[in-house]
Amino acid sequence: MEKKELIAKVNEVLAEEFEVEVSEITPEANIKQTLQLDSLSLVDMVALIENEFGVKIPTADLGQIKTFEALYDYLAEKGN
Amino acid sequence: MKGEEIYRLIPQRPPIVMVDVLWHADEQGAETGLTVQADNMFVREGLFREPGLIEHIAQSAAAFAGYGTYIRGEEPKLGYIGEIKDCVFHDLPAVGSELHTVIRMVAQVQGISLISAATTVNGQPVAACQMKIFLKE
Amino acid sequence: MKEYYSIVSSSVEGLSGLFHVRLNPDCEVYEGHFPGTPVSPGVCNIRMVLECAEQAAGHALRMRKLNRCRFTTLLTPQTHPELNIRISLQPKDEGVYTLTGTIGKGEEEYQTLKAEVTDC
Repeated sequence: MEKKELIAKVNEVLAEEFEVEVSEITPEANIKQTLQLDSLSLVDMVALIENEFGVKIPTADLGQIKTFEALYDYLAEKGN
Repeated sequence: MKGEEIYRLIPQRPPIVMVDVLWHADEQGAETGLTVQADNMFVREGLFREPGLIEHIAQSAAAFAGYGTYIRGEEPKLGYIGEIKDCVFHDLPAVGSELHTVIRMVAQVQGISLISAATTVNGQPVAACQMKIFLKE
Repeated sequence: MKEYYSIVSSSVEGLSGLFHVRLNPDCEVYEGHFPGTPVSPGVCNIRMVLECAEQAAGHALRMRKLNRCRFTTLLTPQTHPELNIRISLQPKDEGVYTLTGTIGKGEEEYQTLKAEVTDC
């Protein structure tokens, strides 16, 4: 998948699941804050990413993925 | 594993033991069972009620996790339900019913396990849900 | 079994109610949940919310679906002996209601649930 396509799909999938406007998702925004995730809903995000993109994010890596940009880069790297 | 052997897998004890057999477990999930006794604390008017079904599912997930710790030679860990989602109750089983539950591990993130579960009696759907469980380290 | 809780006071208006309850530390459920570490079982709390809803409805209710139930705080009769339970039943269909319930104290919410319940 092209990076641009990946970014669009990530945004769409997350916006729908967590009921935010796609416009609220910007590369430098903090994922937890923007999607209002607590420890319980964070699990939903990881499960969703795995389901939609086939990429499993281990707990060790999750701590490093703070912004949407970091997530895009991670998926682009692991997805290929 | 059944009967008192279950106590090696789960931290719960009477009167709130809601799983009595572990039929199968592997990395993806497990199959458990429970025969509803008349003196079960969640039986009301001869039927095993919704909170009991939820607890049976939660303890089935505990038995699944407990099997993992058991084969590593460890004690079962305490677990707490964090969230229950999309839980459907098709039917309330009568006393004497043999519940069969399939647990599937969906994701594990920072000490929280997300599982999906489906419970049947004689092949008929009884309950299904998604559950998040905190496992205490 | 000894009672899990008691209703200290309640105020019901139509299909909504606020219940002030007290958890019973002597309930035998704590012998098994867990030995040496009493923790109020989430499902017993769900049952407590359902029973409060039944008080407001005036008759028994059955849960058809539990849409979502979140437990954000571990409760024990020692740490949280008194709780407030807020429930609201919204009629959805003939004999079918959407139940929203919250267990908390003051501003804090410990447990929330949304379910579809029916008359028994």
